[in-house]
Amino acid sequence: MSKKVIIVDDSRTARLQIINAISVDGYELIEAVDGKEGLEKLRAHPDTALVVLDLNMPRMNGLEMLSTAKSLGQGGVPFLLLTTEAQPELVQQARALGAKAWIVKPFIPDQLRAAVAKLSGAAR
Amino acid sequence: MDSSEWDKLNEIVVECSRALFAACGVHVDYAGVATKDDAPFDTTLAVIGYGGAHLRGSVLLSAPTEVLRATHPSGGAASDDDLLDWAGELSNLLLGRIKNAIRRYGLVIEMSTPLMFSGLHLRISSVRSSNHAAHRFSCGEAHKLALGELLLQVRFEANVEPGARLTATSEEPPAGSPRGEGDVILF
Repeated sequence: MSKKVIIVDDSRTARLQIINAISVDGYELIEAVDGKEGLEKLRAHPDTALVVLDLNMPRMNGLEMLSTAKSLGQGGVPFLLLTTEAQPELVQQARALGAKAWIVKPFIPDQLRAAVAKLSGAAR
Repeated sequence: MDSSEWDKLNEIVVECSRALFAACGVHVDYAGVATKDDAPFDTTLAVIGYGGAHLRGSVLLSAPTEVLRATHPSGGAASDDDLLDWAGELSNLLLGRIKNAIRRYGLVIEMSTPLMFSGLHLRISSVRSSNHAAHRFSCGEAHKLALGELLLQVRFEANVEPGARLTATSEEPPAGSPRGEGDVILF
């Protein structure tokens, strides 16, 4: 069975770029447009192997989603932050909330593919 | 912030713009600052705001549809809505680069989410108290052949608080922090 990866980003172009980079590895890819929808998708798919998460989004940002997921007991799923941000304080916050990786956009497709494979437990 | 610091800030904006377009496969040549304050645009616009203790304002990206279509990840099959979304993502990527660059000069800002527009003869009006500069970029020779003479524009608007300085810091990011675009950090 394919591993599920939830992609949370308010830009559909950004989601498309991520899908283009990782779909070759056969994941079941689930899209969400912000943190609130990301939480709903995570609740609907408790067997998710990885969440790829943007930071700056309307309604609920990436750190808020990460924090809420943790408080709801869904923090066991690995989170990979994929964002334009590189501010050390934000990176440390994400790390403290249990994120497993941080990649600064624009990303190199092969590097994202490798990180997703490693974190989702699908490393080749 | 004196005029030399403002010029330096704009150099950063220009360099970040050039690097962003290059990362998207578009070589651009800097074509100087637009002389008309409210030049009309027949293009797609994306604007994204920012704020910080010393600096707040917005970055506006204006790009012809042809350029957005040529650089869209779908490879030319993008709808008009897709191109609007792409313009917004480009403005987000651009401000992210600027944010990461000016942090090395002691200026910390937070970013908003982008807003996108398209239309004919759009005009821009500035807040009179703000500093602003509209930087123009022409697509490189290869793209001129394919797309004709096209201009991109990046308008940088800033309200600068008294006492704000643009001072290079030698401070390295803490261990385990990304240094910039493309960096991958596994915790």
